Amino acid sequence: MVSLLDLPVEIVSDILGWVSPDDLLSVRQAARWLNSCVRDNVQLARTVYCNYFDVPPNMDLEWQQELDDFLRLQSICASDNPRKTAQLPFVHRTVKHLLSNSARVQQDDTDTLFHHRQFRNIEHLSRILNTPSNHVAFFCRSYLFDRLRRVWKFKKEDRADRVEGLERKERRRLRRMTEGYNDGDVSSDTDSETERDRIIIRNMVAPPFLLKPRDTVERYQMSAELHCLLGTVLLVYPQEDQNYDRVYPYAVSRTYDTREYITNSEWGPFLPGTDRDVDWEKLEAMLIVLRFNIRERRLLQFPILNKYWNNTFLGSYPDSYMPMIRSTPSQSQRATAPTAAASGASPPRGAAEAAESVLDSLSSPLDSKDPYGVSGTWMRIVCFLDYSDFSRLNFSQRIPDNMPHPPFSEGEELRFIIMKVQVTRIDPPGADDHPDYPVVHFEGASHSMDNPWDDNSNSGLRGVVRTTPKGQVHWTTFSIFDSRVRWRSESVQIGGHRSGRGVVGNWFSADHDPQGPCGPSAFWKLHDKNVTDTTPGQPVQAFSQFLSNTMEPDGVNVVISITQPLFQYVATLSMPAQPGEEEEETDGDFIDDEFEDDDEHLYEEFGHHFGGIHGHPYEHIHSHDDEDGHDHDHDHDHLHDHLHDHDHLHDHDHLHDHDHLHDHDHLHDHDHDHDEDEDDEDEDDAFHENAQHHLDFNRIRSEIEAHIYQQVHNDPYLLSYNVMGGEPSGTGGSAAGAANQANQANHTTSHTDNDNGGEGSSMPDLRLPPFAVQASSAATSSSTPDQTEPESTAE
Amino acid sequence: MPEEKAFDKIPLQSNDGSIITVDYEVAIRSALLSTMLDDLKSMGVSEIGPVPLPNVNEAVLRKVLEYCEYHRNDPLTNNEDETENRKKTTDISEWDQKYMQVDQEMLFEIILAANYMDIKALLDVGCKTVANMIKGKSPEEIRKTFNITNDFTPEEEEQIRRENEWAEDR
Repeated sequence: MVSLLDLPVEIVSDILGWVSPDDLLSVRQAARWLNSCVRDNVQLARTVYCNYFDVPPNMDLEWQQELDDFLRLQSICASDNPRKTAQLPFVHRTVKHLLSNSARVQQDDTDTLFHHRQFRNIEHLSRILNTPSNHVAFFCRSYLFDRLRRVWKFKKEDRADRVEGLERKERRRLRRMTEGYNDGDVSSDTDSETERDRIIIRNMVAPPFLLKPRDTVERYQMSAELHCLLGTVLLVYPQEDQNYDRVYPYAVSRTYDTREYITNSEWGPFLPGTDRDVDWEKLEAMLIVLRFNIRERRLLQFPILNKYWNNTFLGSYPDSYMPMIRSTPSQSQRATAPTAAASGASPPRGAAEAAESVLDSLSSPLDSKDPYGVSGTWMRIVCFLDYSDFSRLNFSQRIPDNMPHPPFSEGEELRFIIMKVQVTRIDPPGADDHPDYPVVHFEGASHSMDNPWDDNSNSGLRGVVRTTPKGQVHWTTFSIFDSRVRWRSESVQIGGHRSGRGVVGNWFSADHDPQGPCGPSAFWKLHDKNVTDTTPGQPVQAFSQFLSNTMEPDGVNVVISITQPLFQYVATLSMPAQPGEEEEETDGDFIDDEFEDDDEHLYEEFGHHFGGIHGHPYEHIHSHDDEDGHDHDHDHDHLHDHLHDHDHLHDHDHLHDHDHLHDHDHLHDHDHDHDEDEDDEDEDDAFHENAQHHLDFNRIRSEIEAHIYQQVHNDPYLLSYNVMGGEPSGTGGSAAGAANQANQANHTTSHTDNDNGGEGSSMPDLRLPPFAVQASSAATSSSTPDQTEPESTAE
Repeated sequence: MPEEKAFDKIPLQSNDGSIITVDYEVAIRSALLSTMLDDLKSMGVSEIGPVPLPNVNEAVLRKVLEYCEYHRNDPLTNNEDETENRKKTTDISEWDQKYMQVDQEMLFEIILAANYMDIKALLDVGCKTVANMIKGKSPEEIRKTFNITNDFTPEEEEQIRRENEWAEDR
C-alpha cells in the first residue's frame, strides 16, 4: 500500500509547497523522514514563501530565514505576555522587511484602489499584529504613549487630581532652574511634594531626548514608525484595566508646538541635527491629529479616505500606489488627442490652452523620468487651530525648551483639498540628497473641496520632491497666492517611493515666522491622468467617484452627481453624529468622558473655561462663516443665504418642482424660537446653540436632498452615494424615492421662501468645475517658472 | 497536418495487460505520451500498437484517463511558462474536488501516475489535495491522517518546535 512516506522526495516537496509556514513546522515534527525532507530544503522554502506571501520584487532572499522570522514574529504576536514588548526591535525589523517585499504595483497592472489583487504580506501582518496586546506592546511605545501611561498610572492610584497640579509645579520649578526665574514663593510649592512625586513628574513631562538613554529613544522611534506604517492609527490607548485613554490632546500639543519648527530640522518632520532622518514620533503625532479630525467629521465613510486610512498596512511600502480609476483606452485617446497639439512645437498659447496643458497633458516625457510619480491628482487634508487657540497653546505661558506642552484639546479646522500637479523640471540629486534619485520640481493648483470660498485652500502650487540620504522621500510644497508664496510644507512619504499611503508632514508660513501658524497635513495620490473631462458644463466626474461606494452599511442610498460646490454640504452633512446614533467604531475608539474632565482641570490655569460644546463638530459651521468674513449673528439665516448666493449650487426652478419640499411648518417653528438668539452672546447655553445648529444641519441636508432629487432626473453621471442618518431603504434605482423618504423621516424641509434668491441664474454654470478657473491662473504662473523659482531657493 | 490523422486513436496498455484506447487529444494531456507521439510523427511513423505504461495499473489508468477526458479541451500549459509571477492558488475546481474524493491509496497512486505520465495539471490537483489534508493540523493529527508512526523522542519533537517559536523566558 502506498503512503505519504512512500512518495518520492520531489513529490513530497511539491505537496508541501502548498502548505503554510506553520503547517510546515507541524510536518517536520510528525516524523524523522519528513523532517529530513523539509529541513534545509531551500527550494521548498522558496515555494512555500512564494505561495504564502506575495512574490517579492527581489528574488534574492534567504528563504529559510524569511520563514523562520515570520514564524517567530507570529509566535511573539500570539503571546499575551506583556514582556513581549522587549521584542520591539525584532518586530520592527521583520514587519518593515515583509512590507518592503510586498508585491509592487506596476504601471501596466490593472489594480485600482477599489479593485485590486490580494496583498498577502499585509494580510498576514494585519492578522497577526492588529490586536490590542500587540498595539500595546509595539505600536504604543513612543514618548507620546509613554506620557499617557504615566498619567494613567496616577489616575489608577486615584491621584488624578494631583497630576495637573504636580505638572504645573514641575513646570514652574524647571523654569526657575533654567531661567533663574523666581516668583518669590518657592517653599510653598515644594513642601507638599515628596521626592518620589518629583521623580515621577520629571519622568512624566520630560522630553525624550534629554533624559532618556539612547536605546530608549530608538525604541520610541521604532514604535512610532511601526504605528505610522500601520495606517489605522490608534486614537485611544488600551490600558491594563480595560479603560481607554485618548491620545489626541497629547498629539495636538506636540503637532502645533512651534518649538518643533526649528532650522536644524529644516522645519520638517526630521530629527534635528541629522541628514533629514525622519522623526517618526512627530509623524505619528500628526497622523493621530489628522485621523482624529477625519473621524470626527465622519469622513472615513468616504472610500477615498477609508481605503488608505482604515486598512492596516495598505499602501505602506514602495510602489503600492493604485489609481482610483484607470483611464479606459477610449478615455486616454480622448485625453491625448487634444494634447498632442499642445505638447508639440509649443506656439504661444492662450490662457485657456495653458490651463488645458496643466490639466490634460500629463503624459509628458518628464513623467517617464520621474521616479516619484508626481504628475496627477492628489487629495490633501490640512488641519489648523484657530489662531487664538494656537497662540494660547504656544505663547500664553513660558515652558522650558526641554518640556512638552500640556495636553490640548480645543478642536481644529480641517480642509479637504484637491491638488493637480505636473512635473516641470528634473534636476540631478543635490549634495545632500540620495545619489540614486533625482530632484523633481512640480507645479499645479489646489482647490478646497469642502470650502470653495476659503482663499487659503485655493491657490497655485509648486513644490520639490527629493530623496534623503537614508532613502526617505521628502516633499516640499509652496502655496502661491497672486504669485506670492504664503504657505510651505515639509513632508515625508510614508512607505517610500510611489507608496499609496501618501505624504505626511507639517505646513507653516513660508517666511519661516517663528510665531506664525503651523499644523499637520497629508496628501495622497488619486490618479495619474486627468480623467476628468474639464469641458465647462460637464460634471467633475472624478469627484463623484470620490464619494461613491460609501462604506457605511446603514443609511439611505440615493443617487447623486457630486458637483464641487455641493460637496461642501455633503461634507457638512456628514459631520455631526445624530443623537443616539452609534459612533463609528472601526477601531473601538471612544472618547473617555472622565479624561475630558481632567483636561478641563488642566486648563483652568489659563483662565479658560470649556463649555459643554467644546470641540463640537458643529463649530465648523461657525468657522466657515468666519472665514468668509461674514457676520455670524445668525448662522442659520446666514448659511441659508450662503446657499442661495452661490450660483453654482442653486437651481431654484428645480427645487420648486417638487412639492414635498414645500412643507415648511416644522422649520418655521424653529425659526421663531431662534429669533431670540439673534444677539448670540449667550455662550454657555449649549442647548440652544446645539438646537440651532441642528436646525441648520437639517436645512442644509434638505437643500442637498432637494438638489439630489433634481439631479437624479437631469444628470447623466449618476452614482450611488450614501447619505447617513436615515433608515436603510431603496437602492440606487429608487434613489429619488429614497431621498424623498429621508426627507420625511427626518422632518426636514427645504427653506425656499426666497424664490428670487438664485437670481444670478446663469445656471449652465451649475456644473462648471472650479478647477477650470483655478488651473488657468496656475498655468499662467507656471509659464513663468523663472520668476517664482528664486523664491524657493531663497527659503 | 496529415500525420495527426494517423494518430486518431491511441491504445494504452496498463501494467496488468488491459488495453484502453483514447483519443489523441486525451492522450496528449500526458506530456510523456505527447513527446513520444511527436517523436514518432517526426520519424514518419503513422500507426502504433499499444503503448505500454509499466508503472500504472488498470484501475489507476482508467481514473487518470477520466481526468484527461474531462479536461481534453483545456489549453495546454507549457511547463516552462510557469514563472514565479503567476500567482498560485490552492483553490481546486468543483469537478476536480469531486474527482479527488477517493481513498488515500488511490490518491497517492494517481499522484504517482500523474508524475510518471507527466500530467502537470493532475499532479498539481493531487498535491493540492494532499496539502489541504495537512493544513491546520497538529503533528499528531498529521500522523493520524497519514498513518505515520512517531519515531521522534519527545525531546526531539520539542526541539524542532522551539527552533521557530519565541520562548517567553528568553
